[in-house]
Amino acid sequence: MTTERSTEGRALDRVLEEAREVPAPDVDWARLESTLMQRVHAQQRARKSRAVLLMGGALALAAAVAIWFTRPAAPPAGPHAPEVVAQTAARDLSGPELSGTALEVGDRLLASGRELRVTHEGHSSYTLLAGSAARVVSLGERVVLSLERGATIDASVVPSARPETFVVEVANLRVAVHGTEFRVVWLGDQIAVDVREGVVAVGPRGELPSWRVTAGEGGMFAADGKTGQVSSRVTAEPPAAPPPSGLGVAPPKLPEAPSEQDVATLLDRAGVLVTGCFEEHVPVESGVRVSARTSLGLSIGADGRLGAAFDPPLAPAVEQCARRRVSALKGPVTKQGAEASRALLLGP
Amino acid sequence: MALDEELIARCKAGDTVAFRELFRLHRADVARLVQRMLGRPTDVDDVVQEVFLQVYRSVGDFQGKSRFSTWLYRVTVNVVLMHRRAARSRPTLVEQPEGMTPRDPDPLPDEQAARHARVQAFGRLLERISEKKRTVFVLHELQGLGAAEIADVVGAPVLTVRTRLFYARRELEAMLKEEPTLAALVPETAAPEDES
Repeated sequence: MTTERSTEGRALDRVLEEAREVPAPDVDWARLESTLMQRVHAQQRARKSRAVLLMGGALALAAAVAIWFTRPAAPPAGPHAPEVVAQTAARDLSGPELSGTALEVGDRLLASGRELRVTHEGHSSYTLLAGSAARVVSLGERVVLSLERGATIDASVVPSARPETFVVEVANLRVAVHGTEFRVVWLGDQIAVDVREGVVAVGPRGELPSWRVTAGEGGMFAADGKTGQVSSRVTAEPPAAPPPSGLGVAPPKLPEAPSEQDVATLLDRAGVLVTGCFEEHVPVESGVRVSARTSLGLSIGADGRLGAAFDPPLAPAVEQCARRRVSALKGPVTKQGAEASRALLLGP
Repeated sequence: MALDEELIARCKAGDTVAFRELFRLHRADVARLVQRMLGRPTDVDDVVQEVFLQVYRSVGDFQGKSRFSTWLYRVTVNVVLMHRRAARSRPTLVEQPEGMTPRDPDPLPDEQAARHARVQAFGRLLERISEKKRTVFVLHELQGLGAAEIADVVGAPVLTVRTRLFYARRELEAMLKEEPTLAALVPETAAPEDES
């Protein structure tokens, strides 16, 4: 098939290329998962209730027949045991200091009477001022916090080559940083962002940032993220946009290596799988589950095949399960593949 | 994919942990497709949730005749189309197209802003072609699915999919000049011989 295109065709190809590069939607996965699982459990309960009703009807009939034939009557059956439904319990955490490794997605950080300082070693540290609360939306190479109304957070983020290593969500506003020191305050309908060092990108959630606030500047933004003011306003660079590509219209060439976003997604997915294996193969005994810390090494072959290695190694059953599941994932086909690693904390 | 098969078998047996894992594995792909089909970031959360609830309800019907991802795309497409139809039937306030929202009264002629505007304009063009053509076009051009897999997703013959793709592209190319931000691209992308 020929790839010869008209000028309109080439223009369409170009805008398609740009549309493909639009970052994935910014979804609050913790909240979505929580709501979804509640609905799933409700459906499961409804199904079981229907089954219990049907079975109960059949049993009642059988019991009636039995009673009729075997007087005196047997005592009526007691109510069935209450159903235990697994819930993802979000924890409320407080205290003067916390380590980032102790956090889980969905945790609520509470600085009710005094400041709460959280440190993610080598990544970032932040302080929630007294009276503030925030929820942990994402952890790992990208830490995402969602501030609650009235909260104030002071953050210091270690500079990184990776984009958006630290994100604060406030109402519909998103403040994303690379490496900097800044403060975000939710003041009713307005959100104040003050930057001491570096640069932060600010904009509505789920969209490209609209402002850049640099060291020494401050900005006031509406909670819907649509309007705002900063002393020196410029359009911010996209947080995760790949470098500008050429205007070529030929079929896409094989990339040299997986994109950063691909690698991050694969690490996310592999992390989920490893966690699943750990939960399955490390049983809770007397209410206690051990935890393990390891480094997941992910090799992404040029053909997209994935391999996993763990340092230090995990228990054989966990490692076997994790390797098998990770190898079932598929990465993008590239010229040379890639390798990446991520620290994992498994268990509570 | 072996992993999907294992998780699906467990889901069918009522294992909600396996369902959660399946959700975590595929949610990003589903969200991306939902956003591309909706053409805007709003509502993505709600639709993704509906997709996975539908997956939970009907995973028992999944026979494994196609890949799970294909089946999942089919569920996603159906849920998005239902959502769009429901949204159309609801009275709404007139909404200014997102790309036209005057967020900054003095926007800088920055390349990033221009790209953003072009993508928004492209979304408006997509809205103007028929639902069937838009669906196959998004699946092919943005999601990267082949015609055979799209045929499986939309339940149409491969030839029909190819025809829809052809006409979708032709219509979009013809409409390109009606969007000022995209019209500007046409001379930019003209080959040297076109300019002579």
